[in-house]
Amino acid sequence: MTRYIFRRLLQTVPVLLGVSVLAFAIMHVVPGDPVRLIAGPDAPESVVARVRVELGLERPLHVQYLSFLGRALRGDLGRSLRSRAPVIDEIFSRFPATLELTTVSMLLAVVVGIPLGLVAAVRRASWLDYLAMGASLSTLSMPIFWVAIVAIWLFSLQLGWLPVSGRAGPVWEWEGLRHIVLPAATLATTSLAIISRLTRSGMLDVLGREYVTTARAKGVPPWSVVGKHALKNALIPVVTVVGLQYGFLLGGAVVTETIFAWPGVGRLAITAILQRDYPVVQGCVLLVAVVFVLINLLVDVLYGWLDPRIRYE
Amino acid sequence: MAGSTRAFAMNEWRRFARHRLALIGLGVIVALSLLALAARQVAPHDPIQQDLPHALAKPSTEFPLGTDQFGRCILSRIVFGARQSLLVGVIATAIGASAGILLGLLAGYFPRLDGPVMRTMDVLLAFPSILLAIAVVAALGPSLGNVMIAVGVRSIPSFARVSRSMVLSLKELDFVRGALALGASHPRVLFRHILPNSVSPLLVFSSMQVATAILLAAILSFLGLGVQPPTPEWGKMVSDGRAYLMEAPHLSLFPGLAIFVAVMGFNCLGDGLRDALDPRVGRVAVD
Repeated sequence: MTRYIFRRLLQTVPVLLGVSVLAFAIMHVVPGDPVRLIAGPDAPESVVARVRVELGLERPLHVQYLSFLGRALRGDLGRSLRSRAPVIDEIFSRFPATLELTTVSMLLAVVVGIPLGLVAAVRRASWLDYLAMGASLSTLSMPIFWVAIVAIWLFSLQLGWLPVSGRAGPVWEWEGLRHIVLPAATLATTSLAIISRLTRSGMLDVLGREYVTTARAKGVPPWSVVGKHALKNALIPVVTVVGLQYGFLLGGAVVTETIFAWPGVGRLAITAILQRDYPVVQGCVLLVAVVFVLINLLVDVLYGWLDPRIRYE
Repeated sequence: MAGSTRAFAMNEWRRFARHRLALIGLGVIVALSLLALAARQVAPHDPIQQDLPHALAKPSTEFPLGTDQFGRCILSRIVFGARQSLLVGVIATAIGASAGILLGLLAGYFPRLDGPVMRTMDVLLAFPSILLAIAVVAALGPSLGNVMIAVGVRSIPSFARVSRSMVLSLKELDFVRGALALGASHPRVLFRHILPNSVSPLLVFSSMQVATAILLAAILSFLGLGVQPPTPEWGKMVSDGRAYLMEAPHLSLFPGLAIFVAVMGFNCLGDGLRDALDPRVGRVAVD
């Protein structure tokens, strides 16, 4: 197991290197001169030249890349072109909001999605099954920004129950809780649909196995067969998906954060892209990719721990 | 005995229902395509001509879905908008499919290429699809063509993975070994023997990818990175309607429904086909 983890860790090195090359390339393939952007459109040539040297942009590309990589490894991602603050600070000041939103919405998706899939599987081909699966297929077909807008229209503008947007403190405070309900519910819809579908198909697969029939024949009560014998094995693929979705969303739910003016990493990334604030874009891209790759690794390891049939050789 | 007869009937009904799902999906897609092709004949009004006296009108007999802030008929704009969405969905998927399938075939067939190609795909997969697409469009500039490229690039790694796994399972089979033994060249084996046998799972996957592509393109437009005004586009229409959500929610409501129907069509087709053909392909969430 330790050897497997070590090998998987080694495998992530080339992927992370590739990610860093791509992040580095962002600054160099886009049209427009970033130096002009920093120095200002009216700056004289001499100033532009000086800024170019200050940023080290006159050096050969591979030298620039190596120095970028070296600084990134030490946690130095440069400064934002707009706010002049270190990129790493910009990102970490927004990370708690993203972490909070992602965690609440994943909890919501799991707490609703798994029982829904379970009931649909146990009552297979009943109206409940069709309703649950129809609802999840529909949810997967809805654009998330539209779900958000309809939710705002209904719960904020028409009923006046919840605030339209923004974050008002941590989730354990009343106002903070009120503000997170709509964005978290919106963000949860897709994951919820996927989780309930996966739970259902996993349960249907497992419920047909011989060991379940044996358990039933031995007189194990039905709720115990479903809840203990079957569910445990049916949930293995669900764990994978929950892990991957969580990793994915930690990089910032771009659309949801934008619509609800949620001050997270996703909103930071899109604002930076639209304003051509390249160091921030690079930082966000690096962070997102690294988190994703690490969560991927974690899920793989967890998978083997949950399912002893998987051998690592 | 009654129980098993009932179960049998249920099973049959389910099978029928699934095919019906695929049929419904196909019907929706065909209907939308016809609508897009005959937009000029079907739409009751000009989708671009402004008519300020009629601005923000509620649905009526003259304007079945109401009008937007410039007095333009929303139904007409939705009908014309079908062109953009279907075009982007299909062409972006075609871009991703052609590049991804080729890479996947090569990676699966030639062990030497497997590592480099698939590690590159891993790098692409490590980026969230939306961020990748936004970055590509922001770099190239907002336009319909660039949206197609951005959305297409995003699906290359998934297509590569699916086609690679098809090759890996097919290339050890007797008919492939037989073809090789008879002296068939590698390109011939790949494109005449392996590819045709992978068509049905790839078709299912493509159908679902079109659905995802339409959603992603709508997101880009929603963020202002897609087709530029005044061309009608569904995602942009939802976004423009946000400012009038209080007094005229139909501005955002109906175009969003249109996206939903189109995406649902491709998802139903994909789901129905998958149940009929049962390849093991997953699906990826957006956002």
